[in-house]
Amino acid sequence: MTTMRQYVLFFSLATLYASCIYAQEPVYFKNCSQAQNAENYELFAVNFVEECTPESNEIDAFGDVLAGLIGNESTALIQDKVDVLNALRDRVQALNSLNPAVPKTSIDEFTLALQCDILQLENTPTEMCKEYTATGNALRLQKWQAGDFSGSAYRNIFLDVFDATSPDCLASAVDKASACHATITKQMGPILELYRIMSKVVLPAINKDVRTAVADRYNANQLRWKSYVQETGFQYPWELTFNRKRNGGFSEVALGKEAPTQRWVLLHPTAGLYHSEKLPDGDQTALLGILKIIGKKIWKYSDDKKPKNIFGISLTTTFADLAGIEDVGYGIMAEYNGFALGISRHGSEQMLIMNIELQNLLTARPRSFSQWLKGQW
Amino acid sequence: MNRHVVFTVHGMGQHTDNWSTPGIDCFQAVADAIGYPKDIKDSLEFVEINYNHLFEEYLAQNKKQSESLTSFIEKSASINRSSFYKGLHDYASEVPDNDNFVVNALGDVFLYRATEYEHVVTSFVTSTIVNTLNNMGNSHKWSLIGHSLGTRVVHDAASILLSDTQFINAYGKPTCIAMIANVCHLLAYRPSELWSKTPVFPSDSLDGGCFRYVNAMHPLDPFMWIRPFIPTSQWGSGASSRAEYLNVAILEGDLKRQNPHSFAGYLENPRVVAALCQGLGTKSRRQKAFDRKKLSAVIKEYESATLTGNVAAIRDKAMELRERRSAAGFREFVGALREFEAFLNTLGISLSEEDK
Repeated sequence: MTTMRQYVLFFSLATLYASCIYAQEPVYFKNCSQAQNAENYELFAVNFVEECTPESNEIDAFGDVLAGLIGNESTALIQDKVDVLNALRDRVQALNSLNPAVPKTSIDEFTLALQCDILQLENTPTEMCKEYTATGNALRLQKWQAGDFSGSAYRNIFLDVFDATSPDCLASAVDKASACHATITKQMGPILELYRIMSKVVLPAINKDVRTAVADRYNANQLRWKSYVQETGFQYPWELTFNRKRNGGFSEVALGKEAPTQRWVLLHPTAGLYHSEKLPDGDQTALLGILKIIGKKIWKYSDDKKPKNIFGISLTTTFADLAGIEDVGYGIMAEYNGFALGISRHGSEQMLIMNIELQNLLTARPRSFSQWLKGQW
Repeated sequence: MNRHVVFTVHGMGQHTDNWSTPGIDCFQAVADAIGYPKDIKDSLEFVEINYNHLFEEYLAQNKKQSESLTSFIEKSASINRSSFYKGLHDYASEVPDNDNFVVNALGDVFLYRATEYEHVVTSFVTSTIVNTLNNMGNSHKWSLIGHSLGTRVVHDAASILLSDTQFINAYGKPTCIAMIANVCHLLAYRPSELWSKTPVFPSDSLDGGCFRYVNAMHPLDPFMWIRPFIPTSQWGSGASSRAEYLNVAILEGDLKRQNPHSFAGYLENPRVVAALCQGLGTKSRRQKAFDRKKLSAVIKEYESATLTGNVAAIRDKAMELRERRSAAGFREFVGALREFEAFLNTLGISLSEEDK
């Protein structure tokens, strides 16, 4: 039902728009005092596209309908979008026949953009159009967005061409009685109106989803990088450097890399505890120094972009004040989510080693089992 | 009317919120004075990007790690017997002093250029740009201003964004990339790749990453001495002649503060501001970014307030005194000396003190 209503509205407004196009007196600059008061016709054009907000312009309403249809997220409305773009292309061609003085290159450019976008939406791009859409499957119409007014579409297709066809008009003062005014109004008006519809109404609607997708992508990557350095365990500067070397190196070209899902541990000193039943009472459990000589951690990212299930394994050397046996030992240590457990051999003695976090976990009185597993007590 | 969003990215060292305000205030005052046709308050929206907290969080992590090791080292005798372990543990248990220049300034450069923090920072900066442009609605022009280490951050963030077709389609390319105290070249591992393999260069066509590129380097800025930013051989001299590459000719005497690396110091220089106004653009191609006569007058006024300008003024007084040889002339000379002393005091220098 909604679709039917949109069709009815669309065709009504399209008819209205067509009647405007074919009207004797152009309506393009109605209610647009800022443009009319501009210093010269180039500023006139800029003001028109940038700032004019006519109170009752049927063409704006047409643009709103276009935007509504093109920006609709439902894939079921793809055909509607194709119809809209077809209708828009017809309008451009009608403009061309109405104003033969309008340079053909601009119309050709616009028509080609529309044609390619139609084919893109129908998923049947031609070889010629593939050239435009090969990167990122972007719609060709994106080129028409109002970014910088020295932007290529606006400058090459409008200003330069008008400069060539109506020399000195763009630089001349705005004067309703002048020949330039008639020329500009007749030739530039329709093009500017279309440009405004494209840049201010249609493209923002098309871009809405694209912008959301782009923002989601960059935000997700940022959250992953931040949680990588904050939640996969502290890294000393030499570890950060080593991991950069291993993970893409020192490229001169910033690549926008995805956050890693693994990293190395290198010469990482930390403190922990040892436990050995074979040592005398009172010495069975005590502090020891642990140096993770080399190791590796791997993990995945959860939906909230935080690392989960962080597994790690490291070769270690340990040192402690031990009565009667070697102070320095060697061993291996396994980690899970920051809790580390391992074995280390000091001379002939083999002892259990753990990090402080695990010791806290084992001796804590958690409020619940699930919190205990998360290390919250 | 849609405002032109101008992102400012800071350099090394500690930066609090509003770090760029003094510089932006200078820019605004000078831009108004030289006749920039846009109303800056209405047409430009300055958005600070402050990534300092990322480094501070790292230092906080480091501190926590250090403290856990300190208690162990104090109790352990075995560490003292092993010099290698002791060295590592001593280093690891030392709490970094964030007020120390080596930690807070050079540490930032090390973390950014030599570790994975480059990705942490660039991902933060790029997402901030995207979110800001999204929050501000559609069809905004946007530009980037970097200072010191921030120029490298801007370069890398721009390189990432401008290589992303989907991003370009949605947001367009920046109008201007302005590098204040540009250290991009200084901080490059392989300078040739800096020119040839990134899209961060000015061009009107699709290949260039921005429409205009402003480069400002003070000749007395020590960060410029080692490897200045001179891209014209790679970008072609045409980039300059088409006013796409705006390289500001700052004179040695252009100095009103002790620190030639200061962001505000650059942005109170009318030569820099004029280039920045050109870079940010006007409403149309025919509209000039500044009035030449006004610019000349502002430069003259600026130069009279610089160290060179003040020395020149006192020399002129001395020359006049030599001509006149009168008591009145001598009094004028003493007056001029007092003014000069007062000026030096504003720089934290005294005429009667030896250099330290």
